[in-house]
Amino acid sequence: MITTKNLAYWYDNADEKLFEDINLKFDAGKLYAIIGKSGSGKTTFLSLIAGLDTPKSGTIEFEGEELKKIGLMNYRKKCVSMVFQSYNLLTYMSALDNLLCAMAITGAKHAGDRKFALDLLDRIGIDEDNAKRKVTKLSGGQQQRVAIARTMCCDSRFVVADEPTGNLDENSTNDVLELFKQIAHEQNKCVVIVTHEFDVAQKCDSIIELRQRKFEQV
Amino acid sequence: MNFIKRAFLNIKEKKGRSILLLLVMSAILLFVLSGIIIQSAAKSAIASAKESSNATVTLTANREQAFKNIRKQKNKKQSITLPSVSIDTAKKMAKSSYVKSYNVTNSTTVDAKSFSAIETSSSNQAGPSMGGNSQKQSSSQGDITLSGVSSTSTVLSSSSAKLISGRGISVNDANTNNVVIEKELAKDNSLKVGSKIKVKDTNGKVRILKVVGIYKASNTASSSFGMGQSDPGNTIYTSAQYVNKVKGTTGKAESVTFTMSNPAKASSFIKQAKKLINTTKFSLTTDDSTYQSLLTPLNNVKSFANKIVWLVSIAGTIILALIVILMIRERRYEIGVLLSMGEKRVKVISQFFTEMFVVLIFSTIIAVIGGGFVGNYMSKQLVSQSTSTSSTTMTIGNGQSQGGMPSGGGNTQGGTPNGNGGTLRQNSGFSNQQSVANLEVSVSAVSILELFGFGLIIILVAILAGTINVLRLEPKKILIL
Repeated sequence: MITTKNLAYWYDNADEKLFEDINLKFDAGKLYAIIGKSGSGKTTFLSLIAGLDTPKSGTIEFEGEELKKIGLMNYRKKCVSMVFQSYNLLTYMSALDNLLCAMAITGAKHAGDRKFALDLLDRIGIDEDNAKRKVTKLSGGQQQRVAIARTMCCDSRFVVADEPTGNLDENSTNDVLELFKQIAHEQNKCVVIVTHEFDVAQKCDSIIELRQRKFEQV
Repeated sequence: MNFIKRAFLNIKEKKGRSILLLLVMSAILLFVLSGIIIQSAAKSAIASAKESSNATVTLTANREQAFKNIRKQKNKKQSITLPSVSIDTAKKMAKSSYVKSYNVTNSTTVDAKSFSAIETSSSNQAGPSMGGNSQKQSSSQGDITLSGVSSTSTVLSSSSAKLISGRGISVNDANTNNVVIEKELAKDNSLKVGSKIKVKDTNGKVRILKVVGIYKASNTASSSFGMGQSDPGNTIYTSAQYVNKVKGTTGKAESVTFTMSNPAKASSFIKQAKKLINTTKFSLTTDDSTYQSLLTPLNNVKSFANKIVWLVSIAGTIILALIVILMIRERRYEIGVLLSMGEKRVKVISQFFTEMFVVLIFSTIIAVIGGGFVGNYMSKQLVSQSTSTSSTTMTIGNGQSQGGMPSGGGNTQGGTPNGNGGTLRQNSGFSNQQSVANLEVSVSAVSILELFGFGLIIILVAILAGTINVLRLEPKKILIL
């Protein structure tokens, strides 16, 4: 689904590469975990495959087509969904409106379908009352579930998550990981999560570690 | 259209911020509207001043050139003969679109035959006394001025002379012996409307005149030509054609005064009219001093209002831009999230624009309600200043006109229609002062539209200034991943 070819990235100095010669392949129906030390560049890698930034060298292909060709904005709109550590929900909206808004922006199949959104929220443990409350009034775990539901309601086949369990307790972490597994296995999507918690990574289908500017399968 | 829904949700949920924006925007628009309505009031005052202050252009013999010609000649004692203006030429000139109306002036002197002229004694003598033919100063100069005009509507509706009985001379009186006499002359000779009087022209021919109206000359009008006919009471108005008949001429006049439909176009008319006359023999002089003196304070008000509009707009844009910049900074994560979902930048800007647009609508309503009061207060302050300036200007103008030439016959004797100009100046001066004092300040639909336009530009500039910094970044940098 997603292939990186000779991918390299650096900030200001090309001699101080964050990573280089990265050749990876991520397949649909699998949950991947990227682990590594803080500052190793795992989030930067995630932002590249999410189309939020462009690599300094090398290419990224989505289903055989280069991201440049697809267009980053179009890629973000149609192909990929993101979950952030700090949820990044639209705080002036309810959980339901967040889903409806995402579906409208991405032009999802169920755009404008309130029932579909409410059912989806219910499936991940957000009842109708909570679905209609402002997201800031929900707990951290609930907000992260809403953020995951936002990726589920869109038609994108690739989901990336940056430290999705970073702000959650153990129970919520397990719930969230279960949701990601569901997305990968039941919806046949490719899910890549970045985490620094090895326990979390162990529950994923595949673990890739970023070490000394190279990715290694663990 | 999702951005519209997001905008409304944001306004609804962030009530405090929306109210703050509403207050700031209302304050800005209130001052912009005040400026706009004062500006439009000043514009309409200028337009009404154009109508009320009749600028005139007078066609007369070119005396200056005539004097130059006589000086060039060896026989310096030769008398100057000034050419007469052709009425046909005047009619051609009056066809110009710049001309509202025109008045032909023609005069001659006659001797009172069946009545006595008023004789004005010098200042150390007792008041006016009855004279008559025997008391004339010069046998060649009559004691009555027969002032021929196309119409007395302008001459006898001023503060210098007013029709008090009967009717004035109109174009229908051309070639008739109908006349309008002065009140004192009528009183002293027991004349009334319908009376017939006899005069003797310079050729000794006795002519019968029919009194159709009586006018009252101003007490302040004074003599400038010595005795006898110089007294305003000795001026008899009749048609210009009848004066030609008395003088034994045809189609001639001493001067023609053209009243402009737009005082600002007087110079354009002169340029156009000069093509029809021989400028070495005739000259065209403008009298638009009333218009000019009125124009200055009104232009000051207009320019001040203009400055208010621009200053407030610029200051408002800066203030709003700063608020929007702070607002955008506060919402940069929201922008990042929207962009990460694939939202177009233009739609993000459109969302902010919609939010501000809704605020603008409510602010405009508040400004329209309050703008009338603020505009009225500001205009009163401005008008009180401009009126005092205008009054000073008008007083000087009037003083000059009164001290210069009397109205009526006195001026026509000299061949220049300054009396008319003076009369107009006094009259217009009065009405102009009123028009400045009555500067109408009201909120019109055009003002509201203009205000809304300014508001739109202000929010557009403010939003662009506020968002340009954030939107040029990639979502990753906005979210600081």
